Amino acid sequence: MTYLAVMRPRHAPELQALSSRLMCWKEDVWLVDLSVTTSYWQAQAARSGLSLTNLWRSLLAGLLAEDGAAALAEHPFRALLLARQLSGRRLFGLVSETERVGAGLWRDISWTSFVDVAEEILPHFAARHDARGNAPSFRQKLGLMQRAMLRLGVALPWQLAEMEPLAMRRRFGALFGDIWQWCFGNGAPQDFPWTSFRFETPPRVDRSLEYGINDWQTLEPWLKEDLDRLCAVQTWNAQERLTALNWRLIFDDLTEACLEVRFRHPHGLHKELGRHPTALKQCLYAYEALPRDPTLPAPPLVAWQLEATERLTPSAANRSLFGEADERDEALVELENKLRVPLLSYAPRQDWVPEDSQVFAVGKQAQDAAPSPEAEASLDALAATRPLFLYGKPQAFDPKREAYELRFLERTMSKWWHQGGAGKTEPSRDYYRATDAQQRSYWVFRDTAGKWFLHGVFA
Amino acid sequence: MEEFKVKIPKHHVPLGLPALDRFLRGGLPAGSVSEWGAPWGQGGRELLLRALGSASRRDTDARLLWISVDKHLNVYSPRWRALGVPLERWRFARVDRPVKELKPVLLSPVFRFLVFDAPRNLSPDDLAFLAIQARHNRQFILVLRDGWLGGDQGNVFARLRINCHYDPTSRRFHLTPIRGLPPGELWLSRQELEEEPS
Repeated sequence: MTYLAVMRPRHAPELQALSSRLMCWKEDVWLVDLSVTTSYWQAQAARSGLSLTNLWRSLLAGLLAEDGAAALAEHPFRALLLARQLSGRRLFGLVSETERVGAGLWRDISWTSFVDVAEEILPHFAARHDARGNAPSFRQKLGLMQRAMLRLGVALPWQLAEMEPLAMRRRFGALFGDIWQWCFGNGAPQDFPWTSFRFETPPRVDRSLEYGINDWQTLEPWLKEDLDRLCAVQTWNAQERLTALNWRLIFDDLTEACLEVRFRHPHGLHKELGRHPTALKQCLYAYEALPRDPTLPAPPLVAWQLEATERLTPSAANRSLFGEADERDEALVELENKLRVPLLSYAPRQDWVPEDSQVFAVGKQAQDAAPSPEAEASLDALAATRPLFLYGKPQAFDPKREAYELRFLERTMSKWWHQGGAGKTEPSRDYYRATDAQQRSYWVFRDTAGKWFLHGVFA
Repeated sequence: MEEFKVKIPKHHVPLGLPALDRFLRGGLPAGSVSEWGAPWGQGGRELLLRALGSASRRDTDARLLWISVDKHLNVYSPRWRALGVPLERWRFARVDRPVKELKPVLLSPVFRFLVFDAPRNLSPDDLAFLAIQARHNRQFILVLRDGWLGGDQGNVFARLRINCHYDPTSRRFHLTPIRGLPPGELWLSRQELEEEPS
């Protein structure tokens, strides 16, 4: 659950205690992007012995007005719809789309709520000069959709959950296609017109160099000094943690480049005063990734600005909730912040389809809903016959290319009803262990059309 | 020269699988690099996962990082969990040049176990660096090779060099030491890999 929609917060700036990324959706309605701070909250939840949702619930208790409502969802649009539904039912507090109450509320969302929230998105698209923000076009498509739903007798959006977003887009335009994707497909939050809100001017320092430099060794001491100066800016509380820095570079030919230096976990910049190994490493990675013409020497830098754009501001009330930090967890968090590449974690998921039977997370502990003991036992038995490694996408396989010995393992039903109806996915797969002359064993399957695929390796 | 004063641990750390620990003369040598010949598809990694899963469960502070290079192959975590791997303490990274791209990891003792799965770009200097770091941080570094190890070539910095695979005919794992253990071999069935109660 990475997005939180909050209706009627007690005092909106206090929401910065939850995440450094906020968006003002409309008056008294705010969106909070929790993805940048989830790892931090996971660690706090572990320390306080609460589930992540219950931790956020207890934190929100002090941040919401008496009649405030909040909803957690994987997509900001779904969070908004759910919060609207909660508030419309005169229910208050926090609801999550993965909990039973949240799932029930989600199924009951009316066309009126759906259209209201859809209409609220128009100014956000319009502010970006995106054609999807065109109000007359939206109303025309809306009229078409309302007549179609009336004719079909579809009382609630949920009843059409299986409808393809592409079909929605063809009939009712790009905006409704996107919204359908966000609500009932796997819509990426990147398509959402997110605009971060700033309550105050972020701490910033400027550097003008007397001569141009372009090698990291010369640049690093100046940057370290600037990070110290940034910590000394009066508006920055030492308790605040940094999630993103903006580093604007100005070259001697007066061209500019803006680098976003993002931290995987909220980083305490003040803790590394005078050294800043973590921030310097991330600055170096961003600097090295700067697009350059390899045939030309790098242009010298003559000035830069360093701005602490996203900060998490833990409130005193929050801090009292937690015990002492686990040193081992802190060490891992600090290490992950120093790396160029992310570290992944995996967790099994209750699903028989190989592609859907695990979740992975970057920079935080992968988690899935608590498994039921009956399902867990049967899925564990199934897993014991499967390989250690899977290909991201099954690859074409020719069983006649070599003398493979094939041993049947299982017949697996695919979720043919999910992916655009019949014809797109074969209804079942027969899995075999294919062993070649060198005793290398592979996990292969034959679909109902008779095509063979390589899916894994018994390593 | 301070680094060279660190006492090299002489003891072995048991993995918790009695038959394998006896074969290894007490377990994996602490603070060292070991090299394993485990060709893809031949079951050697299952044996290692059982052993590392057991060691990781015995030492609840221990974290493990599994470093691979293949961008197309993913871990299938339900199978790993079925082998007893505590996934909540294991992390995974995919990099082409592990020593360069994961240097902060190698300089830190956060991960007790580091597994380099079929690395392609490890130079002799990199292997020397890994051996120094393993000793310095008292880590266990395992380098898994996609092929058999030979006695006439290979990693001089590895304290142990062993070939391992699963033999489907006898339904047993087969281990052959190349360096660090007396000549011989070990055949182990899955039942014999049962864990020792801790």
